[in-house]
Amino acid sequence: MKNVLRKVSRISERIEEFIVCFSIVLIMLNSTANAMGRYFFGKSIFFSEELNQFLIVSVTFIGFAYAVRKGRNIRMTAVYDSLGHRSRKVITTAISITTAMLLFYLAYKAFFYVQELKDINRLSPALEFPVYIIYSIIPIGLAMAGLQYLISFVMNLLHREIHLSHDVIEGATTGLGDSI
Amino acid sequence: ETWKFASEEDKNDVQDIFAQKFAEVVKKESGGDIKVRIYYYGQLGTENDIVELTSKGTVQFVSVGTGHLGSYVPEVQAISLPYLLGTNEPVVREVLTSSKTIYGDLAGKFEKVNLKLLTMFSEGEEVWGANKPIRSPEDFANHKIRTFTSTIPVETYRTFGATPTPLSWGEVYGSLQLKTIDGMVNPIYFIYNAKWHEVQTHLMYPGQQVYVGTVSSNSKWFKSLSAEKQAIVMKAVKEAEKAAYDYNLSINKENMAKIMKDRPNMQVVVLTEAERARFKELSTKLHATYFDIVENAYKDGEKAAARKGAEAIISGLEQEVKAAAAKLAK
Amino acid sequence: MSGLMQFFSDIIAGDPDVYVITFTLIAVMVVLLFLSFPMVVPLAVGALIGMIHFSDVDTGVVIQQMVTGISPNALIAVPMFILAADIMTRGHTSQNLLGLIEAFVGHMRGGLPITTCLACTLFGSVSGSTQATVVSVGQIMRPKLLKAGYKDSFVMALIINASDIAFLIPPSIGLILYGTLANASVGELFIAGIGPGIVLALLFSAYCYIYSVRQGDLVAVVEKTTMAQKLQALKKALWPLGFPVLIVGGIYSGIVTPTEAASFSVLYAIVVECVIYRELGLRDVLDSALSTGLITAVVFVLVGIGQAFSWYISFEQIPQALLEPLDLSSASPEYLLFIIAVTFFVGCMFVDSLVVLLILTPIFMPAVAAVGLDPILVGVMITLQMAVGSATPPFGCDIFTAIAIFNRPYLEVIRGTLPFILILTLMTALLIYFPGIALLLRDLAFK
Ligand code: NA
Ligand code: NA
Repeated sequence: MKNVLRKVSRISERIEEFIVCFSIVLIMLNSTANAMGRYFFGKSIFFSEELNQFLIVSVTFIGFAYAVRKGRNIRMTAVYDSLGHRSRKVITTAISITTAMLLFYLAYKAFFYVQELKDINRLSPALEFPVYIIYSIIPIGLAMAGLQYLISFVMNLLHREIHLSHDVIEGATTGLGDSI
Repeated sequence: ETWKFASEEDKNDVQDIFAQKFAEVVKKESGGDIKVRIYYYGQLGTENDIVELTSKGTVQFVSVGTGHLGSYVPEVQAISLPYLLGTNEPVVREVLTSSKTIYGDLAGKFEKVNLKLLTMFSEGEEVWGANKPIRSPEDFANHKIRTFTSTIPVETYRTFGATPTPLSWGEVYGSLQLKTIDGMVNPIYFIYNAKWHEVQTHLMYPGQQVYVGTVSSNSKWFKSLSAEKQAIVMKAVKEAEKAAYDYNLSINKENMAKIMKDRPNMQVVVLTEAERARFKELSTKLHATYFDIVENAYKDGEKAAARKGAEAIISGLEQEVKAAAAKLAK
Repeated sequence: MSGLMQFFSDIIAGDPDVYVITFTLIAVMVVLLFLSFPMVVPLAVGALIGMIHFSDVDTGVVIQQMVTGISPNALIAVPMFILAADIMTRGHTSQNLLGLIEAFVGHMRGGLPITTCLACTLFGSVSGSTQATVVSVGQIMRPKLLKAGYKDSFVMALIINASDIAFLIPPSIGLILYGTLANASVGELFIAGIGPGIVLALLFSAYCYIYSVRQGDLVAVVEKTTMAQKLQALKKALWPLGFPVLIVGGIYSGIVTPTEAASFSVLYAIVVECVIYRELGLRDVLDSALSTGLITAVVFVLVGIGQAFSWYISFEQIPQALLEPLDLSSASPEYLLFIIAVTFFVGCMFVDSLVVLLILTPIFMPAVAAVGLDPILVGVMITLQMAVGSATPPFGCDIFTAIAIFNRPYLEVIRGTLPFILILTLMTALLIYFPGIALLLRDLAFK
């Protein structure tokens, strides 16, 4: 069972990495192609801005879930840093469960927002593409981020160390530098 | 109680004059019981956002350029087709306020997204800005013109021979100044407010179309109002439409005078009937584009009927424009 | 005492009084912030409490506004400059650029921080994005400054604050937006912003010099280089120098918009590092893209949720209600300008500066006209406060960007900010009493 979970976690991490990388590279190619087309060939990519907006939505929400997984989030730790291990552990545990709940709530609201966009059949102005398909990534990203906090809550209950996420333990270094 | 009215434009733009008059009449007619709170450009988000907020009932009234409604009501883009309604202000007004096509066929489509179409009004003729005179499709060759990121405007200028370049408006001033793009299109009052006349040398009147603002309310909410309150809304809409019409005429004239004062060397080109005829002929190709857009928005089984409906809207509007012109010529 | 009891029972009851709402939201957000919740939580909870408890708004709007917050096309420049800077620091480009700077100013007291300050000013003016400047210049200069012995808190505060000069020097989206809202000439605003921008860069440079002298023993100064060494450094930096040339040239020749220039800088960085230096491969570029995506997401989620919070403030028209008691139309010009500065300063502390501009400008414009203040001067003053606000805690885009990119704790990033805020306050005072700083150039060009 534990191995299955680990496997699911690895696969979802790979998918997140792929989406984030792919979107960033595509933004670069899209913008440069648009400028070159306009300058050299007198042809603009009429959907260039719209495509970038879609890509930035996927970078933001999928990247957010990925950042939580990596324990990377912006916090104000002035008070926290001055506390002892026990208090920090209590605070971190409480924060992970409340943040998880908040993100699940937002994912739930996002799901209904996407549903509404589907019902009114909102189409993007340039590509005339159903917007809800792109925005489906929002509830997914928020729910994945919420799940990461839920997992770190469980890890904090089961283990002595302070878990900022499943993989990231406070004080330990990771490939991406110190967690903050 | 307080009703909320969101507009896509700034304070003292045409849509805001509508909103102010609307608020004034509602307050007076309700004996001060009902206040209307007005939100301006960007305060509640983008044009799409305020349309959705109205559809959901978070705000009760919304005023946006008709083109922005195309994402929700594809049929409404008929209003954005060039050389369909024309630029004769009294004629356009007659059609926009009393058209059976608009308040019958189109209004029905609004209901599908829980909006009640209240009125439409002109905000002035769309004028081309450039750094050279443009009188023919040939003059548009290699001319990068900024448009909205939307199919009808993009295809319009492609059909006219230009290079349509969608750009968010914050980038337009700098891009015109540095010649990243060559021109743009907007009503005069807006060109002056955005200061784009500072970075263009020519303004062209092609007789192509006016910018149309559309006011809607949340449909379910409107239906839930008492008969008296519904009557107050309709009375306020009527008076506000009049105020917006008068203001449209005066502000475009005033701001043109201000542009000429700021830049006495500004070249103003009014295309002749013959010159307009060439663009007008090209513009009929866009009707098919419009039908395609509408069709694309429907499921497989509904496509044929949707296309038929779109064709009826165009022919309906064409007839009504002719009728209005004939009526007003008397 | 009973007044206090009443106040708290109003809070519990959700009385939609503007003072009750303001107090509650600020209190809740500050408490959550100090409990070290991820920053997204205080902002989200603030917005949700307002919408649910005080206003009965469907909270789906939070999601809608998050998307709106991250949608402006100009924001695309942020991930692109992050990526370009990341590729250049992984490869040889940034080292070679630094070698050049060290060769020319390394022996001078304060040479490195002053160079950083000027680089931020120039890069910021051209790119038009303060966040992109924090990333690009910061990523390259910070390691060098740290190695030379400067304190990290000073270094980060310098980078953040110097980057914000970008607001004042054209092209500036803040000035363009103000021009439209206030019906003021964008051309005049652009010219008027330059003077204060330069004065600010000079004041910051002066502070850098004083700081370096006072830290004398701790800060290393390298030996003066010979002419030959200078030329050698210049030769090595030739390809990297193409980077600013590409951006400045591309934008001012009108080939690309500032947003597109950001994407071209990525392409250029890839060509230089992968093709010319052969220092990096595809794998490195993809690694860069991933870390770029992560940093972008961390910052943009806050931009998005910040927009949702601002939406609520705007929906309830809280600023309007708070300002109503002040009778502005009979104020003296200096007093009105002062009030405008303070209001924008406070607003930008909590809410994204462009949003503050959209909400507050229409409120002040009638008073500005009544008092007879020059709208150009007002525009420059407001833009200055927006610049201050982006670097001022608790909510500041550039602070978030610095935290994400340098991977340092919040408190350390803002620890060195105070002297810069004082300089910016001094600048505000200067602008009130010597409006010529802004208007002189304008008058020369337009009158
Ligand atoms: Na700038
Ligand atoms: Na701030």
